[in-house]
Amino acid sequence: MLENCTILDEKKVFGNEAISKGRKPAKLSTFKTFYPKTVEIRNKLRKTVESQQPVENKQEQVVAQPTVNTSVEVKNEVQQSQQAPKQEDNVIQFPSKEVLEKKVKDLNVVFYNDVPATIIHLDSYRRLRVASLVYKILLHAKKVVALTPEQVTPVNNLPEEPKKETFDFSQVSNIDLTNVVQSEVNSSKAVVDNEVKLDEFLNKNIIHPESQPTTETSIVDDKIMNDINSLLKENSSTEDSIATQKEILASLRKRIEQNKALCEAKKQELEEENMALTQELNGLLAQVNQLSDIASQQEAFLGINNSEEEYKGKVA
Amino acid sequence: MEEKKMITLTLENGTKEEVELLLSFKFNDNNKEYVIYTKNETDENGNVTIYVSNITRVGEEITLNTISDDNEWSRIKDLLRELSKNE
Repeated sequence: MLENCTILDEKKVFGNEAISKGRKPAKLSTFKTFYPKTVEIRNKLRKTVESQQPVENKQEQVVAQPTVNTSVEVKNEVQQSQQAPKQEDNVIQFPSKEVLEKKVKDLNVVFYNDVPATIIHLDSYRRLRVASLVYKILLHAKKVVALTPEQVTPVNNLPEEPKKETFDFSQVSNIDLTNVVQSEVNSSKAVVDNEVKLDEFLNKNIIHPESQPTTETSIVDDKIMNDINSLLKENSSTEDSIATQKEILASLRKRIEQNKALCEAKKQELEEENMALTQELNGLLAQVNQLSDIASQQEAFLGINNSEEEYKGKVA
Repeated sequence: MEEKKMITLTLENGTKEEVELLLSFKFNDNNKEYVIYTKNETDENGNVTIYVSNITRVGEEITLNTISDDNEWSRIKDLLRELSKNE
């Protein structure tokens, strides 16, 4: 306490010293002039602070409100949600559709609202930090001017279905399996050749994205895509002709089976006929033998002496 | 607010990651396609991190690659700037 008193005294002494050094104490008139102004400024600041505080308190009340009266709460939420876009609209003014369309046209770009793919591999990317405004504008642009995948890829660009040839099987009378099989083999070769060609083409022109992801050659341009499509089309048409030929082959095989069955039936019939004829023949042979036996007996009876003479002559 | 369009990316190690698709686009003059997506990462200033990749198609599958060409990258940034202009 003594020390404090001493300090206070020192201050006083210092004040007295300052006065003694020539500084004049403030006059009452000066105080009367500046004090009201200071009070006025202070009151203004208080008013400003008070006017801001209720808004915050109001928001807090809405959040902290218990779920007793739902209608009130919903009303508050609706009011809040109605206020929020107004505030946002005041801050962000999205460009109109016309403006965006013009920009898109000027930039020579097409926006899609989707990535038309089943599987998306992520190899690498470039990162950019943007203001939330840019993020919102991108979403807005997607909503307003982006095209759907169907609009980007017109339906008439799809490859046409190859025409199927029709065959009149009733006119196929001569069964030449060797030709059919040979043609099938040739067609298979054609398919294999096309596939090999396609593989070679793809290997030459398209570098797998994982191996060299950033080279310009990894991007397939329209010409290459057209070539690929034509090869695929050719391949599919060849496959189709093979399928048709397989159908012919199956039909011919069926006809062969039918003919085989017919042949079997005919064979059996012929065998039965043969058996009957054989039996008839055997009967006839038996009759012939019988007759010949009778004849030989008669001959033997009539010509026995002659034979004895002959025998005698031969011995002599 | 519009519903977010989410896409699933398959990473190199086979894991899958779901991200928000912002926009995909194609430059008409060179037919190069790009995609802009975000993982909704924001910094303390409210800035959003977006990712831009080049699209390479192989059949039904697509691969997202980096944009190595600085001219391409500048062009994409110009595009974003132009879109952000309030004119």
